[in-house]
Amino acid sequence: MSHDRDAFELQLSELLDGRLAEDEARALREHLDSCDECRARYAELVGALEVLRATPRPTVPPGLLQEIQHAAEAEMAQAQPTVWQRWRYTAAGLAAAAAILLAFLSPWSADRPDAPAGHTPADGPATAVVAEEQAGGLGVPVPDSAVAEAPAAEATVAYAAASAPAEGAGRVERVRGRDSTSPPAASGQLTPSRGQSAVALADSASQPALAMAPAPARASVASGPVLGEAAGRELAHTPRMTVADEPQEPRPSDVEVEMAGGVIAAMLLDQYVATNMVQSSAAIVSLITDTPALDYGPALAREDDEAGGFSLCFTDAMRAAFAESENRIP
Amino acid sequence: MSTEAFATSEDLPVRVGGDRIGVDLADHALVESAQAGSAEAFGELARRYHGNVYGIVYRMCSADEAADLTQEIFLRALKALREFQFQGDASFRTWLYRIAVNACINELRRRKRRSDVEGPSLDEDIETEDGWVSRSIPDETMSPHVLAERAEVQWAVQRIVATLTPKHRAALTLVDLQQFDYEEAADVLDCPLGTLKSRLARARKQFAEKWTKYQDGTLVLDDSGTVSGGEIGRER
Repeated sequence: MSHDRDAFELQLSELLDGRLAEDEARALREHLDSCDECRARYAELVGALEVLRATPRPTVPPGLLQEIQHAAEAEMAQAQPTVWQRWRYTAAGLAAAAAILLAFLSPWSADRPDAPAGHTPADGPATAVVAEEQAGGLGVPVPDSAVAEAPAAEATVAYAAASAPAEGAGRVERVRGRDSTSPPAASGQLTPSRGQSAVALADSASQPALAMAPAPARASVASGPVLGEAAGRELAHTPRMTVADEPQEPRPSDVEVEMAGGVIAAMLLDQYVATNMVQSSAAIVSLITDTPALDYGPALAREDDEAGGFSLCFTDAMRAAFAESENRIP
Repeated sequence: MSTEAFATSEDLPVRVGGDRIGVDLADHALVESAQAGSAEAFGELARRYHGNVYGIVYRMCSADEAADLTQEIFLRALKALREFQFQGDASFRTWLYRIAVNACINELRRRKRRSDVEGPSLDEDIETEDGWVSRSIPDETMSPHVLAERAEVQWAVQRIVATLTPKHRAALTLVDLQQFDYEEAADVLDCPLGTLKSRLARARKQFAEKWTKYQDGTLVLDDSGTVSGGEIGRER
């Protein structure tokens, strides 16, 4: 019988496993019935396969499993973050929580007398900035469209734990880093300029303070994906917590807020950011906005100006790349 | 001979309302726990699959190295676990077995490279057109459990399987010795189903021919590894 040898061996093998189609199996059996040579080959295969399948599995040496488990435990213990590292991760969450809490405790809502005049989102593009202490402040600008539909009377709360001692009110348009040669943000006060709303977290190794920008009428915390979206993702779509109409309870003064919350938040952030700068920016923004960190792109630090300020920018392409990357928020 | 029951429990339901690591947790939950740093979860995964991994290594490489290489495979898997993601039908078990098979193939290639550079040692196989040929000498260091298992048939099967090329050896080991189905074996070997079938058919044919000769007494298998006519052992 003339067969393509390999094809025939393949058919015999599949016949053994019952994987041939019924018509193919029938045809092959008919051939085997009439061909002594092929029948002998098939019988040889059947015999060998019976031996193979009857061969008992090797016995696992006693103690092997325990050795594997102990080795794995040792390996994982080495890879586990230290208590100090875990504390840093926790610190980021605490810092963000403190910042948010302070937003609601702050006295600078509608009744605040020193709110900058003309400070409305309609005056200019809104910016959300996450500023971090390392090479410089790291800002995450939000495109104009992000707040396009925000009510004119609202201003997104700005947080800043600026790297400067408290000296008085001031306006900070850009959060600067340690190497900044410009005068630091006075008093840690971060005021959105020209109506720019901002979410800014900066920390300091020196005397960090957290301040919240005054808002003319309302203060609101954006809790949605506010960063880096060129279009289509708007603050108006995100839940807001408005405090303007809340009953006015006695509140701590600016100084108390700055000293109590800002120092704590900034110090915690400083520890966190120092070891995990790039990831931390996304982590902090994620915590503040309650948005999965992977919604943000990779953090790209760029020198923002001659004074040494830095910003973090997120584009759609970067966000997509980040989503596919192995970056994870700890 | 022990016929250890090998758990294939990845489809078992997750324990409801509890987080105890045990047989009632599915692979998926265990993998996620292990990825989060639970040594206990990884230990349970090891408990489930170390038998099959050991069996693969034992068949494909050698009994002597099976324990050490099995442990190494699990440590490799642990290091790579962070990157592992369940996608579609991908299972942890298949992923782990793939690591095992690749480790075995790499080990066989390493032996061959060393043999090419240093010349074959007395106890290493050499590759011929007909497959891999044993040159091994009696191993006086075999552990008691290996010696205890060294029934003639199993030993003969092991010696003949060792003459196959690594890829044929892998296909035969998975399907006929470890009883994987074709599809999972193809997944483990990361090859198309047709390729798996072809390798398996060739491996079976070679094994069957040698087994028949061994049964007829025309092929003598021994540890001294006298090579004759490109065959393992001695042909009479």
